[in-house]
Amino acid sequence: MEALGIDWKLLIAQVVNFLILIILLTKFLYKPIVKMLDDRSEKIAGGLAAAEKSQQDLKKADVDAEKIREKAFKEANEILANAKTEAGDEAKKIVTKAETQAEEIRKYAAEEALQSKDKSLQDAKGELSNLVTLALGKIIGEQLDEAEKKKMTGKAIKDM
Amino acid sequence: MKLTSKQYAKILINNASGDNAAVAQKFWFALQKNNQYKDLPKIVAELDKEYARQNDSIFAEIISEHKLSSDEIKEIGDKLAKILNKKIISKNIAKANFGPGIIVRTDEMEIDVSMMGKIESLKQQLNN
Repeated sequence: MEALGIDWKLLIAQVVNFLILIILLTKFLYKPIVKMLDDRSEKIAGGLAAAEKSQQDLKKADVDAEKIREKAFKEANEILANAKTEAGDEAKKIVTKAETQAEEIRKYAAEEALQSKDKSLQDAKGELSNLVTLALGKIIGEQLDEAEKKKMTGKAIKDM
Repeated sequence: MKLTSKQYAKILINNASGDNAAVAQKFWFALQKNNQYKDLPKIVAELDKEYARQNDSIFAEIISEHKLSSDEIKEIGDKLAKILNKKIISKNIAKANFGPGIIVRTDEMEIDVSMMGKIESLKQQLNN
C-alpha cells in the first residue's frame, strides 16, 4: 500500500474526518432544511385549505346573502301588500263614514224642509182661519139686522 | 165649615117650604162666616139644577143674543125632553153680541146651533 503511495494513517484520519463531516452536515444542515421544507409544505397546504375554506365560506355567504335578500324582498312585498290592504280598508272606512254622514245630513235636511213646510202651511192655515172667522164675525155683527138675526135664531131652533 | 155651592143649594131647596125668612138669615150668616159671598152666583146656578133634580127634571140653560119667546123656549124644551127622555126646566140667558142661533147646555150635554159656534167649528176645520 505504501508502494501505492497510500498512507494508512492519513486515510483513516480522512475517513474519520469525512464521517464527522457527514454527522455534522446531517445534524446541522440536512435536518433543519428538511424540517424547513416540511414546515413550508404544511404552511402551503394550510394556506390552500384555508383558501378552499374561504372559497366555500364565500359561496355559502353568497347563498346566505341571496336567501336573506329573497327573504327581505318577500317581507318587503308582504309589508307593501299589507300596507296596501290596510290603506284600502282605511279608505273604505273613510268613504263609508263619509257616505253615512252625507246620508244623515240629507235626512236631517229633508226633515227640516218638511217641518218647515208643515209649519208654513200650519201658519198659513191659522192665518186664513183667523181671517175667515174675523170676516164672518164682522159680517154677522155689522151686516145682519135684528130681524135677520131673529129669523136665523128661529131657523136654528127648528133645525135643532 | 165651608160648604160647596151644591150643598148650599140643597139646603136652601130642602128648607124652602118652612120659615123662608129664617132660612135666608141662616144662609147669609153662613156665607158671611165662611167668607163665601163670592160663591153666590155659583150657588144660584146650583139652585136651578137642584130644583130640577128634585122635580125629576133636567135643568137646561138656553143662551141667545135676545130673550126668546115662550113658544121658542117651549119648542126647545120639548125637543130636549125627547132627546134626554126627561122633563126639562129651562132658563133663557141673553148675551149681548152672541149673534144668531142658540146654545143649549145641561150637565150632560151641550147643543150648539149658534152662528159663532159654526164659525168656531169652521175655524177648527181650517186649522186641521
